[in-house]
Amino acid sequence: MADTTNEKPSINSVLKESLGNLQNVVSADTANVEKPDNMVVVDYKMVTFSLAGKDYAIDIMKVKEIAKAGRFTYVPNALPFVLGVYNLRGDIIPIIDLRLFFNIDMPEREYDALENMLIVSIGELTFGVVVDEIDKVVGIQKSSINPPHPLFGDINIKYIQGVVEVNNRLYILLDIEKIFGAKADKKSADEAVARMAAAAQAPKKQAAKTAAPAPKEEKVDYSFVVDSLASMRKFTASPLNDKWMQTRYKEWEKERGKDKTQLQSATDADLFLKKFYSPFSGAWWDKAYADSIFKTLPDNTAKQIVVWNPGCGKGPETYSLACVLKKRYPEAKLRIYAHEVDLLSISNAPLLSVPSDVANDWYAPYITKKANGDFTFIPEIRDSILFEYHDCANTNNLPTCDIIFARDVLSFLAESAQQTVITDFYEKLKGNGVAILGQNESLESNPKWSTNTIGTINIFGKK
Amino acid sequence: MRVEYINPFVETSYQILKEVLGGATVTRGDLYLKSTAMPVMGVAALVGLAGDVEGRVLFDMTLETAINIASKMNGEKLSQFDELAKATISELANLITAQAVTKLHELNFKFDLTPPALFAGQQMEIAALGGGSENVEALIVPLITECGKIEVNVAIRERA
Repeated sequence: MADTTNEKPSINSVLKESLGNLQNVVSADTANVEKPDNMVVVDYKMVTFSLAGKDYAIDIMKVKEIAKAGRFTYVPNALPFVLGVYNLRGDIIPIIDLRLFFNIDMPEREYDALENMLIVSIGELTFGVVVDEIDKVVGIQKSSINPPHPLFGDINIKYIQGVVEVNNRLYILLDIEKIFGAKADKKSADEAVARMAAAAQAPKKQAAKTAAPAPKEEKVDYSFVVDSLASMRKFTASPLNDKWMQTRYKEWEKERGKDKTQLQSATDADLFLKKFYSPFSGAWWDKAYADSIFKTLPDNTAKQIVVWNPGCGKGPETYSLACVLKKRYPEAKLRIYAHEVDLLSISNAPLLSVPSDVANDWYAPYITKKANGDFTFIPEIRDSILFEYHDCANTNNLPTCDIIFARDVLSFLAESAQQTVITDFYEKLKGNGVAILGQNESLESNPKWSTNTIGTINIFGKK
Repeated sequence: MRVEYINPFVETSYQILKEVLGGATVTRGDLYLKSTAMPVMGVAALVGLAGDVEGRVLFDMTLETAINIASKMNGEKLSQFDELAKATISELANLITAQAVTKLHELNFKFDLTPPALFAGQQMEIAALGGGSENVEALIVPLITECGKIEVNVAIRERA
């Protein structure tokens, strides 16, 4: 009996086990079936290649062929990343080096070496694209393409279509159409902006509600003030400075009394704007302010720190910034592009001399004495700054920047120009870069920017 | 455009023009920046720059002004924009650019210039340097003389 009782459960358990096994087999089967399913659905093929040891890919539909060639015919006056032209069976095609295009370091080219080339066709145009090594064709599922992360360093994010992981290797999928097609680029950028705007509509609507002062009369008075500021001092009220405008207008109303809020003259406009300007606007900074700026600057181990300082005025701001940066990043090479649209202000900036009380302040380590006894900045500081007469609403050929320092500049541009420049800021700023605006200016309402407050200073970064 | 580049061009255009016109009054209009393609008034002399920087200097004036200036420089009344007039305007462009470049050399900016090219005609437009969407802005120096107005249009950028 004991045996049978012992056996019964064992039969049960055997049954259970076998059933369980069967189940396992079934589930294993389905798993097996599903797995190849995942592998089989290939609706996107890409050609993979490497640039400086990193893996990249492009859509195979854009690739006409793969070739090896060298000794391209040099074209004078072409852009630096254009290696020249090449005769591909009778067709003359331009050859572009992606490493140069993306500013990736590369070994020196040997004269006779053959280059690996992808021949791509975009619309009616054919290009040769030189890369380090061409790897293979990889089939993937379109849905497995992940959107690019804004932190990608080497390559401008607008050229990246996405990231794909295949066999434990990450491929950066380049959007070859955007790289070569300027028009296509514009269109999709617009679309992206529209999408962003749609996403941000809800909070924007709220902002609009709070922005408009409720009673109608007040609204009219307010718009008068806005108009006078625009005509007298070229100050544009926009989402950028809306917060300040609202508070300042209320204050102004209290100071002047209701019905007397209109700005009668330029002096009134100046009075109204007096509190707008950031500390030490157009003047030498005191130690406290320099320290507060010092604290906002993020760690950066780059060998070269590129800074864009539009609206540098007569120069004290740029020199002060240069000193703070030198203190913050002693190892790095500084490159500051200081732009100003007022020719009279900027024309003396390169040769600015420093008053003696300033020279003995926190600036002291960066000051030297000229032969005639005047104080001036040490060559290291002076050489790091490039003063340019430039209207920042026009296009520029700046490299990507680590820091953009534009205090009280944007508010004095027309609203459309503000948008252009902010977009330009976004494009020119590195993923880990920061933008510092005026004390009363903010990009908080812009969905593409993130805000971080350190002390009294707001710094803005890419989201 | 670098601040250091501006003054040499403004100064030399003013001085040379005054000199070649025999001490006539030359007044300088306000400088400004322009980044769009602009119409050419009728006669344009263009000098290219290459070296540490790249760019061009363009001297733009109406046909009438060009003939007036050429007449004055040659000391005879020219009625047509003929070979002599063309050579004179080219030379003026050369004089101004060359002296500006010499001044810049003294400040340690090194670049060469091309021989001047002369354009004449109606309804012409000159693209900003760079062409396409990546326009480099140009500095415009308007100079007003008794012969008419000349616009010196300087577009220079650092080599990337």
